[in-house]
Amino acid sequence: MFWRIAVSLGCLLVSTMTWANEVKLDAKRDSLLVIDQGRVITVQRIQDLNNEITGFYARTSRPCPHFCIQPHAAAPGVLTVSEIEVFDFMEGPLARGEGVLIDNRLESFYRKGTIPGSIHIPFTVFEKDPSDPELVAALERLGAIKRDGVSSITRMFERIGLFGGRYKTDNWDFSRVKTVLMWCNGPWCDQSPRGIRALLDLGFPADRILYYRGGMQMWQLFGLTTVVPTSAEN
Amino acid sequence: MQSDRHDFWKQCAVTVYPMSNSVSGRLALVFSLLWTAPSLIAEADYLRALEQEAAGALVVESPAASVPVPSFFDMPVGDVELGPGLSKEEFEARLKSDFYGSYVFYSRLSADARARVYEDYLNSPDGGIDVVRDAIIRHAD
Repeated sequence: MFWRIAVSLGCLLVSTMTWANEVKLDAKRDSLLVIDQGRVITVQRIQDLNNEITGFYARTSRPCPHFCIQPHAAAPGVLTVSEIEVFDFMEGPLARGEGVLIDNRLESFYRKGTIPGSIHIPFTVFEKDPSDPELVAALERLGAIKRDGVSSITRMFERIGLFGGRYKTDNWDFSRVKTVLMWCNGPWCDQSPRGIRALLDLGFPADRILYYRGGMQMWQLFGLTTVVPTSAEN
Repeated sequence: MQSDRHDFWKQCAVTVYPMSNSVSGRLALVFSLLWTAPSLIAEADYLRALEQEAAGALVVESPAASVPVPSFFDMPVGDVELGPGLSKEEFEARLKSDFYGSYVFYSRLSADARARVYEDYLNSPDGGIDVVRDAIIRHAD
């Protein structure tokens, strides 16, 4: 009899209220919601206290130079963030449409699982020729505006900081770009640092770039929610 | 750095190639290839290493993604049923994802009791969740 009542009550409670997590995101948050490919995903930590990392992200050693430990900062002026700031980003700029979370890894990594809310732009896209249509589309997706036929006089003023010149180049107007938070496989991965450096080379403002150095490695370590993309394009 | 490389190749196309009939042009071509080849090879090598790593990676969708949707917004809507003939792993995964309340109680049963619940589910013609709930209650006593 006890079990019958308990099961019924349990089902009812689960379907009508939020489950209180024992393993919280941080002191103030059990979980958070993020939109991922049109779905609402709950980002939270695995609640099994005995859960351990196994497989790919449990590996300690990979050959350097390909997989060297990365420095804390990806580039001068680019802020390095931790999981807490990623949560804040998800609930703030990302939710408001003012920020973009970017999985910078090659597609073969992305397709095996990503951080919810991320779009996929591999670092190789940012390293393409500046006129490459794929790069142009990626920059426009981030809010950059292509410029054509800017007069040399205008550029002269912009170069000394007038007319919002700080955020403009010969070919691009970055003054309205979204804040991008870029990540890859973790502290041993240089895909997002390369993507960041390539963006900076294009003139993308450093103060609109955030670098999540922990990446998928730390995301996995904390048992945080990951999703497998439902399509190749996100 | 990337644009430097592109500039370099443009320069090659414009200046070196038309000179390739001359000795100096050929020499310039050879030197240019020797200069850029290492970085291009290193880049190809790096991308190959990345692909090899990715091939070794497993799918990392966490249980947390497909399951603990205990938030109101994530609950499945409409009539959701288990369906018949699931393997034990599929059965538990579906239970966890779509009937979390039942799963909580199921997961607290002994291994024997869980096996009996699964057996009851297999024996039911439509694999309905009601059968599973009853089985959980029966085998918990």
